[in-house]
Amino acid sequence: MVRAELTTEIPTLTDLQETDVSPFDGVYLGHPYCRLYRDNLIANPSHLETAVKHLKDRGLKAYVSTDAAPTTEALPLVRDLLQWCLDLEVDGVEVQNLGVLRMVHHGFPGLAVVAGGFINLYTLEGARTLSQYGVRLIRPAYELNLEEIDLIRDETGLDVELLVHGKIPLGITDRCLLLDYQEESSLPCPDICREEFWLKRDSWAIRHIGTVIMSGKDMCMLEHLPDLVRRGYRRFRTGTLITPPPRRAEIGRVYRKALECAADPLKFSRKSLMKHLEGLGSNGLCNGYYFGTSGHVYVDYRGQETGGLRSEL
Amino acid sequence: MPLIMAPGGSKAAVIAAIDNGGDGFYLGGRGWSRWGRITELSEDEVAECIAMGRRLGKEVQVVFNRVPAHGENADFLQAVESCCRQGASEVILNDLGTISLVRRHLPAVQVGTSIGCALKNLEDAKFYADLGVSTLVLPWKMGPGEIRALKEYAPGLRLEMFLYVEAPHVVLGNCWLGSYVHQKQAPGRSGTVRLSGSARRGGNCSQPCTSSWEFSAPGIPGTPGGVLTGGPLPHRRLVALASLQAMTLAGVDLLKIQGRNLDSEKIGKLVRTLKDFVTSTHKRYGAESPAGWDRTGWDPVRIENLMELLPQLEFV
Repeated sequence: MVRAELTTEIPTLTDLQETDVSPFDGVYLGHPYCRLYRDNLIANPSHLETAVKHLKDRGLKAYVSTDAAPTTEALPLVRDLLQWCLDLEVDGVEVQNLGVLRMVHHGFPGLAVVAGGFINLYTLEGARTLSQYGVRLIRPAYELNLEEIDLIRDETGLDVELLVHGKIPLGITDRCLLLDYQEESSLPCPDICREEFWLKRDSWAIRHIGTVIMSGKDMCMLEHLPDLVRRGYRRFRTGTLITPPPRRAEIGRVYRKALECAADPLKFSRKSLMKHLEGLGSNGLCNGYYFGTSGHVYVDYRGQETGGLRSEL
Repeated sequence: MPLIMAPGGSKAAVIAAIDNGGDGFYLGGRGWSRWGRITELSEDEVAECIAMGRRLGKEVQVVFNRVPAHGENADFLQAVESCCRQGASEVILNDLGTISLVRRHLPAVQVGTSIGCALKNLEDAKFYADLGVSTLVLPWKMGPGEIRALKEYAPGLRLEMFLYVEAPHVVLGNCWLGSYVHQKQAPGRSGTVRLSGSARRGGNCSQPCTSSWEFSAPGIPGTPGGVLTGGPLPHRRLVALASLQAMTLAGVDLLKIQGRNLDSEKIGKLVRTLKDFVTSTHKRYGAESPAGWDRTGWDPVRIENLMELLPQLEFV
């Protein structure tokens, strides 16, 4: 059996308490795209403390997501968050902004840093620069394909975490679009973003949540897990920030089961695992950019492009 | 008075910018910038424009806003070095790794950041200052307080703000919507792969944000099908005239006019009109004056001219 780390994302304490976290090895706590999100763990020190304890009691790692795009005015709040993380002895902080990385490097060198997707790591030279700032675990830019990620990992020795399932963050906005619809929907901020908002065009669909735009389809690398394991990857993340707790846990169980047999092609029951995922309902699947295609495309285990469950196109 | 940097999407645009009072211009060489033949200049044109700029004492920035693929660093560094040898004042780069690469291999080259670096706060700006860049382009939302703090942190650092900019809904440099919709691999230089569809990686963004989208929330009652509205995502055209004096007094060194896609006639008019605004402000109050400057002091004819050139402008 391959020893691998499977992580998930959980924005609030209630969400954490309602999620069966047993399939996971670690959890990224907090909603990095909007501090106003109700009960956001990164804005609530007592909830964060309880959440970290909840995970540690279960032998799980506690990572904390920091603000993905903080303004200068928000930096003191980020500094507070970093101090809480240090005090709570979390296993790492996810940093998606170079300014926040600089703050950690100079003010909180004891914190382990995971460089997130919005930090825009595209090149080997970029990875070397990040490592000079103490980064040891990276999530490369979403647009990179697997060969490029292999190269960065092999040349720098940095550990890599791959997004294997869930929504792909596609962009950060200056301002939350939902704020314009508070009156129309009779839902003020922060209640409004508990609703599902979609941007749709023809057969396309993308999600708008706070200041982030996410893919409508779910990234899915389930049937490619044996290949990822063969390539030497051991850290896998499910992007389930906005996924309801039961579904988040179920996705975790499917991937845990897959990881248990990923090293043995004879035992890897691709069909039944994929069927299980289909049962969870989806707006379609894609592989993001791992195979050099457009992000919305799904490439199956044979290397053929397909719609991936119910296609947007 | 801050220098006005005009867009040079063609040789004709560069000439129009200079003729109309631009203090400098920025341009991109073919294969290393953006929008291919629409805004990129051939090697010969780049050389001619750099020579013209030098002859007339103008600032010349050469934009390399394509991240070199693996195996392409030598070609990239050669192209950067060549532009600077010809007399370019600075290269503009949009990637952490690329900036580090140039700083390490060509330490004498002056490096400016592109808006694609997606700076969001003062600490971001300090990060790039620490990397040794000579010029930082600031996002339009940054204010005079941040500029003063940066000047205090790195007195030699030049700060550039947008005098005119188009601000899409998704922050430039943090958007993969285009490549999510469309991306293809094609052979690039030196046996490398070029990715059409990715604005950072040798392609052009398909700009899905400018298409019409239906915004819906199926769970909200009282709206047919949950549809709330339709149309393109918010896209703003901003002219920073209201904040100009405060930003200038705080220490802005360069004023950038976006628009390498604009034709030379429009660029000439835009540069002339904005130059007149900046000059009249400077004359009226001087760089040291703390006096306020608001829209009541703006010449209505100039406002009208601007609105004619660029409909739906917002003054910030």
